[in-house]
Amino acid sequence: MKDKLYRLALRLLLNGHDAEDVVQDVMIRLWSRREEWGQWQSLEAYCMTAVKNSCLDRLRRRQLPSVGEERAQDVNSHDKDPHEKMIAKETFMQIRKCMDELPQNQQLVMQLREVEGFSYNEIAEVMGISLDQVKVNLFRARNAIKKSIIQTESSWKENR
Amino acid sequence: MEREQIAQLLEKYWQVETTVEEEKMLAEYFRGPDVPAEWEMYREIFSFYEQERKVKPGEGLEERIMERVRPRPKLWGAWWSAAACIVVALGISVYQRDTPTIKDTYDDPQQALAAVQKALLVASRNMNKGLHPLK
Repeated sequence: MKDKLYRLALRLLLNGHDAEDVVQDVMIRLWSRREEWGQWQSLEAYCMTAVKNSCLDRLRRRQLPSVGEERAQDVNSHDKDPHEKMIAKETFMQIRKCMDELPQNQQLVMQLREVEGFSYNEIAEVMGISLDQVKVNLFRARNAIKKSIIQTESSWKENR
Repeated sequence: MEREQIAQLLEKYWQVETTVEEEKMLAEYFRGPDVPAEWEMYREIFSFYEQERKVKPGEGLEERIMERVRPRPKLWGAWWSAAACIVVALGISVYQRDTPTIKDTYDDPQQALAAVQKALLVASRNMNKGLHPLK
């Protein structure tokens, strides 16, 4: 489960170190409330929600002017993440760029569905939005990715 | 799987009508060797998500979390000594309840007064004796 939590945090924070911090906090908080586990419907959905909220908090704090400059560098250091180095393929970079530029809700829906394989209901629960909103976000995001990759492919063909 | 079937699934996929299982079938197909050139870009998309699924946190994270949630030996020592303190305190209070602290020595008040006066006299006399060399 911690891998899924980490990937969600990484998608939002774009920084491996911060993402690990968030996962650690959430897991420790989870442990301290272990008596309540039985009452929760889904431990995984609960944790994913906690990670999402914790990341959004951090993003808000990043935007504070006092720490703005330092944090901006953090975001750029995403390029130096180890897994980033593995993906040297240009199409992958294109898809990643497109993902990063999507509105936050679309990014989250994509991460939960395409990467983690969550059901629409689970996504709605984690994000606190309706089923319809889940589908609308997913529709827009999938088609944005499709459009961007079709554009890239055709621009390559023109160049050749 | 038939190519026709994949084309239908893809159509459903773009319309957000596929189930999780159907999407797994699509991913499975695009992982395979029979993807026609015209679908190459879709293969890239599915393999991108595949790649994302392999992303894992750094090595030490699990240990760091376990370190924080594991009950520490030192802390257990503190709990034991706290428990021992409580046992000792209880023991003392029970013991004190069993032994009366004040006992009457005299039944007759006159006798008691005389004894006290005598004791005070002895004390003051000794005190005067002690003060004498200082003068």
